[in-house]
This record gives sequence, C-alpha cells and structure tokens, in this order.
Amino acid sequence: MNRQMEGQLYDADSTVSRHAVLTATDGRVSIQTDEGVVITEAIADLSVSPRIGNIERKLTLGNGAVFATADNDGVDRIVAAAKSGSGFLHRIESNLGWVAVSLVVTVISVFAFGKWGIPAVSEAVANALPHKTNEIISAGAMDLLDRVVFEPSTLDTATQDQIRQRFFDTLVPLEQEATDIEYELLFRQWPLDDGESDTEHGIPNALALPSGQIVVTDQFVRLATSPDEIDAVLLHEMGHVVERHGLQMAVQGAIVAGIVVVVVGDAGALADMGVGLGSLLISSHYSRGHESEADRYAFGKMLKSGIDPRAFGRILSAMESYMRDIERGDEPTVVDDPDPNVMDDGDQDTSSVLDYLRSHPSTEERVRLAERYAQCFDRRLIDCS
Amino acid sequence: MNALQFQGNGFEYFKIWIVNILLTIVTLGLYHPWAKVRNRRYFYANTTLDGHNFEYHATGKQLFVSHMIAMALLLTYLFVTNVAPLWAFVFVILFFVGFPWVIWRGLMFNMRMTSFSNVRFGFEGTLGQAYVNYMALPIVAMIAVYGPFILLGVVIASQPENPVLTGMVALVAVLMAMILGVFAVAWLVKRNHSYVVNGQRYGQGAFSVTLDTSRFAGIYAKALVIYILGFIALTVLFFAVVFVSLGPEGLAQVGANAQNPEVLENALGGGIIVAVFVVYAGVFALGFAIWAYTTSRTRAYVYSNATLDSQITFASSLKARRLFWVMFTNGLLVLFTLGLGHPWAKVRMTRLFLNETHVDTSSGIDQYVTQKQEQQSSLGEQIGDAFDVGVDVAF
Repeated sequence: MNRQMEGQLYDADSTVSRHAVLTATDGRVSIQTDEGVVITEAIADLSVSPRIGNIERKLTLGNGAVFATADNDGVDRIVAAAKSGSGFLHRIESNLGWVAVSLVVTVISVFAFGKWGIPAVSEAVANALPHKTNEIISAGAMDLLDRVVFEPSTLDTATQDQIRQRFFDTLVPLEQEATDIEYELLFRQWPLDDGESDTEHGIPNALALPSGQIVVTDQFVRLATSPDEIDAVLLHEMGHVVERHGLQMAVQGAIVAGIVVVVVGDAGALADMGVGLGSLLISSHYSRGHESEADRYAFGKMLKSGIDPRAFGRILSAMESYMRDIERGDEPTVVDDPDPNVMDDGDQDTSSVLDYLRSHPSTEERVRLAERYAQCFDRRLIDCS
Repeated sequence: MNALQFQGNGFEYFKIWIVNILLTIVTLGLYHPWAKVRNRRYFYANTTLDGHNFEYHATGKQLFVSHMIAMALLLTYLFVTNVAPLWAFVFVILFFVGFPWVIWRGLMFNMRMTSFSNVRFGFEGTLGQAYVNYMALPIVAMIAVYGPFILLGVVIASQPENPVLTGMVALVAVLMAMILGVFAVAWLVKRNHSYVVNGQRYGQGAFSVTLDTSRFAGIYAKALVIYILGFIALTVLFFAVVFVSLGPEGLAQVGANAQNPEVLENALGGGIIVAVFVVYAGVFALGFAIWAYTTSRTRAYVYSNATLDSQITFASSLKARRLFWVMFTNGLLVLFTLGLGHPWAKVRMTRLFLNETHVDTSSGIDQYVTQKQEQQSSLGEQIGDAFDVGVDVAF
C-alpha cells in the first residue's frame, strides 16, 4: 500500500523549509526533498500533532526534523493504519451528531446547574459548616445597621420585656435540633425615608442575622393586634436562622462569582453586564425560595404550639396595607438589600417592578399558604405538608 | 509589508468549542487545560504569514497542575471574601506580591511554547524587572495620582473656615490628579510595553522597541477628553429622555411638587426607568469606544517602533472605529445567542486583529530566516510546568 503526500520539510530548530514528498509503505515513511535527500522512519516512531479542524499537521521525526503538511486526511490514513485510537477528539468534533449532542448537553447542564445545582451545593456547604461561621459572617452587620438604618426603639420596656419573654420561653424551645444558636431579640425604630424623625411612624419589618440576632421594628410591634401575630413573624425569622439562609446566600455568591470568572473570563465587559443582570434575577429567585421555606418552618411550628397560622396572613396584610397607605412607591431596600447577610422581611413591595425581581413571594401567595395551614390547624393536625 | 492571515472559520471553531465544553462538564472541569490547548492550537496554527504558520506546543498535562493550583486559590479566595470578608486582605497581599512573578512566568512559558515556522519564541526579561514594572512603579504612580487629594485633605483640615481657599485647592487638586494620572498611566504602559517587547526573542533574534512616554500621554489625554465629553453627552441624553417621556404636563407637575421627594419619585418613575436603561447602554458604548481608541492607537504606536534584529519591522493598521464596530456587533451577537455565538465572535475579532497586523521583511521572511540559520539554537528546552493563569500575550 503506497500513499503519497506533499509538504514542507524543516530541519531541527530551523525555519528553513524545503518542498518534499512523503511516501508511506509497509509501516515506514520515506521523505524525499526536491534536492533528492531521502529520510526514512517507522510510522510508529513519528510524533504526529493531533488534528484540530484543518490546521497544518506536523510529523516530527526522531532527529528533530519536521514534515509539515496540509493533507490532514492523508496523515489520518497513514497514522490510523499504524496507531489505533488517535484522532478521537477530531472525529467527535467533525461529527455533526456529536456536536448536536454536546450542544444539548451543555444547554441542559447549564440550566440544571443554575436551577438546582447551585442551591443544592450551597445548602450542603452551608449545612456542613459549623454554627461559628454564622457568627463570623454576621460580625459587624448589626453595628452597620444601627449606624445606617436604625434608631433606638421608643417602645416602653414593659412591651419589650413581654415580647422577649414569650420569645425565649415558648418559641425558642420549639426548635429542638439546632440548639447551638444563641438568639438575641432586638427592638429598633426604622424611620421612614422622608428626612423627618417621626417616632409615631416607621417601616414595619423584622429581620434576622445568620448569627441568631433578630430585629423587630417599632412600627411592626404597633401594627400587631395580638401576640400570635408577633410570634408568627418571629418564628419565620427563626426559620431563616435555623435553615442557614444567610450562609447559603454567601456560599452561593461565591459559587456564582467563581463560575463567572472561570466560564466567561475572556468574554469581556458585555458578559459582565449580562451576568450581573442574570445573577440579580437568580439571587432574587433563590431568596424567594428561602422566604417560602421560612414561612413553612413558621407554619409547622405554629401548628405544634397551637397558634393559628391565619395570624401570619393577618400581620402580613396589615404591614402591606400600611405601607400602601404611606404611598411609598418603589422601596429600594426590598430589591437592593445593601447587606446580603440580612434577610429582609415584611412585604413593603407595592411597586409594579417585574414580579421576578421581587425578593419576596407576593403577600397573596403567602396568605393563601397560611390559609392552607390554618385548615390543618382547624382540624387539629400537627403535620400539614 | 505582508499582513497576517487567519485560515480558520466560525463554524469549525464552534464544533471544537462546544465539544471542549461538553468534555469539561463531563469531567467536572478536569479537562479544562486540554480544552485550552486545543483552543490555542486552533488559533495559533491557523495564523499564517507568507505561507508559514504559528504553533502552540504546550500540552494539557503541563498546564494541569497550575490549573489546579489556580482553581484552589480562586475557590479559597471566593469563599473567604463571601464568608469571612475581613480575611480577604491576606489574598490582596498575596496577589500583590505574586502578580509580577505570575506575569513573568506566564510570559516565559507562553513565548517558549509558541513557534513560527518551526522556530520557537522566547522571553528573557528578568524577574527583578518584572517586580519593578508590575509592583514598584504602580505604587509610585498611585502616589502621584492620590498625592493632590492628600494635599487637599491637609488644606481642608487646617483651614476649615475658608471655603474660597478650599474650593480653589480642590479645583487645583482635581486638575493635578487628572494630569498626573494621564502621565502616570502613560509612563506605566510605556514601561510595561518596553519590558514585554524588549524581552522577547525569536530563535536567536531579539525584538526591540524604543518608546516615548509623551506619545502615550497624548493617547490617554484624548481618551480622557472622550470620556468627559461622553459623560456630558450621556447626562444631556438622560434629561432629554426624562423630558420626552414625561411631556410638558408631567414636567409641570414635578415642578409644582419639587419640594416633595415622594411625588417627585412617583412622577419620574417611568421616565427614569427608560432613561436609566438608555444611560446604562450609553456607559457600555462609551467604555467600548475608549477601549477601542486606546487599544488601536497604542498598538499602532508600539508596532511601528518595534523591530526584530533591526531588520524586520512591524505595523498595525487597526482603526478605532472598525474595532468599536466589530466589538459592538460581536456583543450583540453573543447577547442574542445567549453566548452560543461566542466562537464566531472570537474568530471575527481574531481575523480583524491579524489582518491589520503587518510585517515587513524587506526581502521576505524566507530570506531573513535563511540568514539566521547559522545562529539558530533550540529555545524549546523543558521549563517544567507552567503557571499559566490567563496572562496572555497576543501577537
């Protein structure tokens, strides 16, 4: 079997090439230049560069000389006869079926990883870390909030003590698994953003730091018509702490940032824009999942301790209608939480921003879930999942 | 003068790219170094001058260890910045101290792994100079830029009751910072280009370039002017969009309630959203434009002054407008194909850069290499594994 191909022969480490013809016979090649020089070598001893697209192939001989040729198919034929298994990657790359499979697998993997992989991995990592980590990520957050957002509470001490006592005596003992969390209940005034220091009004809200510090605002306490309503919200906040949502968000941020750096590292500024927008959508979506999880946690505990889940729906609606009355329009603290470690609660979102951008499930949805649990409550069920 | 040519095409590269991604996913990222080698080989080997081509010789195995170290460092860094941000400064220091070494090592490795017409490139810049250029000089430049503001702070602190003086000093400080900033950046860029180009070898041949800070300063001063004009234009555009979308009635309503921030906010709601989107796009376009301008001009300047053994000269005819246009349309292509258009965009950009790069061998590259033949020695000796973390030196 004789095969011939044309190419250029370079001496070792030399840029000078001469036109040459390579002939393959019985497992050996002989290369003859136009000047009549002949080199022969066994095909098995040749080092052949892998085929990529149609780039020039280089066959390096034992003495360092290189035969370069554009005849890729010719090289494949003589190499395939002598060495099996070579050119595997090129065969996949030039097979449209495999290319289509790659495309589909890539699109599905990217989608699945974003939708389930990242939250699952973050949850696993967050749960594997010691509770101490929660204290590390919360360090300084409360001081920052006190400086930037909050003012001292104007509630009288009797009210504060009453709420605090209920919290530590009845609510905290409900959690029997995550017992290493040291809760702290803090009262703060969150002034409306109108420049007036009006202690009669304020933003009704409650939030939890991953370390177990729970903050309730004065306006929230004033809006609550029964202790059950306060308990419902406090249980929701405990849910965030117990389920380690703050840590999950932190780990998630690290993963998303890592993927961005690795995958689109060279795609430039435009990728940043797209990725920034994308990760905003994804993270608000994830935090909606966290809100629902904390809601379900609270409802579960409420059934166990005999609190009507309707209390949660009532206080949410009260907070929403209060905020609507105040005519807040867009409330930036809902979408752009300045501190990702703080889980923001109380639905003040009365704006017409895209539904997907909201970090909370709509109040209606949450009230509906409360109603479903309330029906279990009416039937004296303890498990309603 | 002969221009470099690119022989590849978008669809061919797409197939290589997508299979690379598949294998990277299937191997949970372990395949990445081999994917990188395949990508590079595709682009290098398809680049030709006078019928001879480039080649990239590194193997996936050589890149693997450094890839693993880089990934481990990256993961630790991301984890630390997100979970314990107070410790991130350790990485900042590590990065600051390690960066010159990484640049130097990357240059050396990548140049030696690149050949043209069977002869390898090399890099002989010293590690000490890398530390001067990428660590010491940036510190000096930073002091030059921030110095005026420190001066301003001192004046404000010592003369708290004198607004006229403070205002004047502030104006002078900003102007000084701008001028010093332009010169500091120009000087740094000049030093870095000189270091990189003068350290490069092709076989036994040496590249050399003599650069002048003032030429770079001219380029950056113009870029600053473009930036300021662009910023003013965007501000005008912002208010124009708000005005058009509100109409005279809306504007009157806002005027009447100018004291009430909430009414103002509500009334402006719709107009502001549109205006913010317009400005957002404008800021990106401005960034692209400035990048295109500085890249094409510095490239033209550096290439026109570079020689190989004082025999071979270079030129870049890349135009800022053309670069901006290709970048802009590439961006749209990638955006609307959700990233799948990336291979076509990359091929198009590569072709643009190569076709605008010219090499003058006066008597042909073959003639030059024939003369040099006697002096050739192999620079392709083993230098161990790479620490190649993406510091690329494009031809």
